[in-house]
Amino acid sequence: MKDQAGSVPPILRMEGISKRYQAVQALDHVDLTVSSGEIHALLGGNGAGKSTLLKILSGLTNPDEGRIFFEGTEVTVEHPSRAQQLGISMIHQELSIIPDLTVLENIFLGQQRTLTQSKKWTPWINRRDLAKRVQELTQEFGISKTELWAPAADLGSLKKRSIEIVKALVAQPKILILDEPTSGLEEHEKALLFEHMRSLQRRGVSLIWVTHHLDEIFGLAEKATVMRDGKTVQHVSLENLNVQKLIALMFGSEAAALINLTEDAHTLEVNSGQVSKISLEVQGLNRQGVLKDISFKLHEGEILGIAGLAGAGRSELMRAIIGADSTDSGTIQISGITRTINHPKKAYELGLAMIPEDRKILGILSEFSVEQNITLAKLKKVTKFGLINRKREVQISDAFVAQLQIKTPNLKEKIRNLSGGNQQKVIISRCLNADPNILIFDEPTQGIDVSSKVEVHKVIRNLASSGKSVVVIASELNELIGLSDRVLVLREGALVGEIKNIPAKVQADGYETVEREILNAASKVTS
Amino acid sequence: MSRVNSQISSASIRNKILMDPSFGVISLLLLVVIVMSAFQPSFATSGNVTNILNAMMTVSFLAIGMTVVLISGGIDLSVGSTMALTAGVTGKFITYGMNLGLAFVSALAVGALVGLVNGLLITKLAIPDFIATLAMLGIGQGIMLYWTQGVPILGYMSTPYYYIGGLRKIFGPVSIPMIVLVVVAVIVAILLKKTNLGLNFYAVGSSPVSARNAGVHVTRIKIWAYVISGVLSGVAGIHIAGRTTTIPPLIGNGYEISAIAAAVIGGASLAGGRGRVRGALLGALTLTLTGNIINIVGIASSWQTIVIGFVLIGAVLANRATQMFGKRIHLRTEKMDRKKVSA
Amino acid sequence: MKNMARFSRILSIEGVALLGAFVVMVTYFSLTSDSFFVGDSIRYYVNEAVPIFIITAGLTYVIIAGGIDLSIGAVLGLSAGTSLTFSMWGWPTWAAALVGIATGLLFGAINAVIITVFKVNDFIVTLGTLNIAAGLLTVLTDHKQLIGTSDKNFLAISETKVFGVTTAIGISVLVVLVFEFSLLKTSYGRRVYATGIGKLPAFISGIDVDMVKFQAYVISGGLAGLGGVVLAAHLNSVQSGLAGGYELTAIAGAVLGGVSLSGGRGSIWRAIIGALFLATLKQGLQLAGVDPLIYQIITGLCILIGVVLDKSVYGFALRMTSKNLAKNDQVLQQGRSA
Repeated sequence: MKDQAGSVPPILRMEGISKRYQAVQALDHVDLTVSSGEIHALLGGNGAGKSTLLKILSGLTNPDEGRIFFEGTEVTVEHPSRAQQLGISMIHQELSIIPDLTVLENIFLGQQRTLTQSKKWTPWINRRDLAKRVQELTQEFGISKTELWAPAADLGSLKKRSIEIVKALVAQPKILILDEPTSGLEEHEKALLFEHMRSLQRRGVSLIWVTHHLDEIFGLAEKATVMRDGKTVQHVSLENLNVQKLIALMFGSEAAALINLTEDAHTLEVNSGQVSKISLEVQGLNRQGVLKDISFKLHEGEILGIAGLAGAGRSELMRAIIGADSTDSGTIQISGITRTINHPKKAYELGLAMIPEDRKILGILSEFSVEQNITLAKLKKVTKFGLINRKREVQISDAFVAQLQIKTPNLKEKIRNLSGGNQQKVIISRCLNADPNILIFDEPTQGIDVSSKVEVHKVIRNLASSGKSVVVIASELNELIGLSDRVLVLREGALVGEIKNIPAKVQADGYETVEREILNAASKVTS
Repeated sequence: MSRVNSQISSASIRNKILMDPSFGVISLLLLVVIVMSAFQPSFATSGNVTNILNAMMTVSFLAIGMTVVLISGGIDLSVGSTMALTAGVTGKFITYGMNLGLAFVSALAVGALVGLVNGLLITKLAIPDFIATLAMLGIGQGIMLYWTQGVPILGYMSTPYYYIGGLRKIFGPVSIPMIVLVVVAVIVAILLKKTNLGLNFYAVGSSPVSARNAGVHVTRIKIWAYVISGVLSGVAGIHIAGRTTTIPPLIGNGYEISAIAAAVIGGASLAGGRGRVRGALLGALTLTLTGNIINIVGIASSWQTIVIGFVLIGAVLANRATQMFGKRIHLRTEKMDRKKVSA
Repeated sequence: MKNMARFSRILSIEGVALLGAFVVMVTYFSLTSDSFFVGDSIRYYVNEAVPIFIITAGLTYVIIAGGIDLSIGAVLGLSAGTSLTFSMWGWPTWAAALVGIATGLLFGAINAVIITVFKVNDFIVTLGTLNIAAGLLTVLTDHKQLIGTSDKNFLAISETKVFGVTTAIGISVLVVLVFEFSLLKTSYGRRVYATGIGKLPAFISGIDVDMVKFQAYVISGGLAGLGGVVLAAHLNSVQSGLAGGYELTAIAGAVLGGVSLSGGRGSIWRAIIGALFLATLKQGLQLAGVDPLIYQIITGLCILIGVVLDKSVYGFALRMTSKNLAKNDQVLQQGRSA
């Protein structure tokens, strides 16, 4: 019952929240207390229960036990509309955009009354009026007046993110929940978001912030609640902590030591593989409106990073290379021989494999089991005379589960029941099973917990050391620089920069310089 | 796409027309009309036009209701049997001595009730919409069969009903059903375009999860869509009872397919999130026109179904061509606009 | 404890609930009606249901791959017409049968091309081919009834009795077995499921989803053709409107059996159980002397109840088994740390 600011009760108090999903106790008597004008970080690994707790707070589901006090009064949040009424807004981790609606409609959906500040209920929508009201905020986040009227599906994922942020802010909430809000944002976008968070805080708005990027929270959040396995581990004040101590709280002390190892590895990074033969050469790749005359080479044993702002064409380039998208012109040579790749099937046959971004939509086959997912890209391996050899399938899958340390109760478990990090490992196994020579990782650590991240990085480095060619797309420059030998920078579909010898440069000039160089190339504004 | 286009005041008229999803169908229709008028004198007469307009009434009402359901991401296979049921309610209640107005209200109420049941089955019991409405189709037909014992309903017509059913016109070629259709079309169109409920239909159909996140009561919205479809089936039932003057119990047979076809030809998507009232009317017109042309040209009735099959496939291909064509134009004009700005 | 575990594991086999209900229903009908389950009547209704079983096999392929095929009934009818016509014209049996199957394959291919190449909605396209096929049948029969091929061999396709079972039943059983086997055990079948579960992830993983769907529609058409041949041989007459509505029965049966319309789930045997359930229901009601006008009401109600029951039993069983799994995990973990 203690409060920080003196006599004012905390704006939010969740007490003893429990929730059970069939056999899993997702939340076990969890507490959370947030004061007015406080930025409160909610931390924990995958499966810790953060999303469930937020779902309850935002009205998407109801707790089995526990009470919620809002501004001192007990409330129940049965439905998201009730959360809105109370003044709780949420920026979801997964894009929550309605594609067939316009940007403007996405923004005001469900909250016209708050926007127009009208007391009376009216069935009518006055779009012009609403557009005027949101104009200022949308322009701040880079959404033009014309774009307000465009279907939301047409905008790139960065702008879609911005739409969600605007949508949450425009409701002038008392509590703003941010679930991984910086994923997919560029540096200046992140800075803008943090600015808004600070100004909201100054106005007395409370922020509950969930993020995997532990370095971001220091300097912004004052307090944190750490969760593990559905329980609250500790409520801490962030003043006397650093990243390592925090990780120890979240995962235990062994994990913290592991992280240390990686940080050293960043600075010592020297790729032991021989950078020599050209495994992939792309010349003059063109696709109207998307890719402009892109040419580059990829070597065996090399990790090539692709940098660029969202919408620059990184994923599009890779998709074109593996044949998932068509191209207007250009050639691709694999090990010196020109090939036409018009379907991912062909790409796999030629030794190319891609781990796509956004695994929920492009990666996992949700109803399939772990083993069925693993063998999918090369069914030949488990097929004899057209029939699937289940034993072989189990053998292969067991091997990958051991190699990548995939946590799953058994191989027959449906992949959708696994955590994000383990799902990603299954997809990586699928690609590895196809025996590729060239692997493309598109945002390989998106939305996965720290320990899985480290493991994925290890896999990538091992692949390069063993002579495979690796391409990595990562929006987080730290990660990209830490992994790559060389970085290509894309901007608006064209190749605008190449930075060689990354490890040496980092040792000589430091991370920030390299980062800045990449950012400059990536964001120089044209006409 | 075009629903959104109409909101962009700066989009040129040319673009608006070209990118309208029904552009393909409209152009084909125009072509057909021109050809028919040139080669078949009996086609372009006022008598024939009135025939066409009269014939498209029933399907229009059903298609509008179907469009609303499709927009919200569902499908309603029961509209034909609900129409028959509500027609039966109208006829029977009149023969029981009820006055006309009350009978009409009862019919609409029954339609709404069927819609409500559909909505509840789909949302509360999580029965897939295809199956739930298919089952209701059977149940509705069964009720009608049992109630009438297989015997067509007769003897309910009266002078005012002749006018309401459209068999007698009120002035010139205009009949009451036409007026009702216009009113209904306008009301539903305004509902979809300018009200919150309308926007919610599109939202729920496009992405129910995101809509829920935004605070929309997805269950309620879906139920409303089916209720509206049920009520419009009731309107169709009242109309058809007045037009045919006897009600065989299976009168609704096959109308659900026509309703779906009309809605889709008009641009509604089976996946949800798209559709417009004027598309529904366009689709109904297309189907009716097809039947009309078949009759005039004298194609044997055995070929009718074949022609309808081709029309269906042709219409969706035309719509698809428009989509792809439109995207290319969209890209090209965007580039042109950008050049203009930077110059 | 162990029995509960075994029981819930059985329950969680999808479709078991329906099978159970089916058994209950059959028992009830055979007890309350004398004519039910007497050899002739069961053979009679199974024969009527044979064409539906055959098209259900093909339909299941299409549905699991994520599509739908509304034309199967009409195509079956047309194929019956073409094969019987050719037989009546004196063509040898095998040729007439081939014509029927070819009719089906043709329509399957038309569906396949328009849907996969032009990427147009399958509901509407197959609705269109339904109309075209039905119309062609009307034209073919010219509003009369085609009767009577003199070719006894043709009739033998359906009517030969082997161990008291007609070849018609034999063919349908064979079809179901072969295609179910292919669906569940071959890599082709794995690709079909993958395409239905997620076209995009399957595509990225190197599966030619367009080809999978293409083949599914051709298979569906071909099986409809085969069904038509068998039906023509059985009835030895064809008229306009034959097999009208079969597709809805097949779809209803499939969904009742737990084949999800959104793709990726289910199997042929479950669709067959569903179709069997509905066919038996009709027969049972008829024999029990229920007012024919109420059939549809009861059928509709049964479909609704069936779908709900299947879901709840399956969900219940799932909860029970996962509780057991979780308990097992805990025990194992304790064992490890000890």
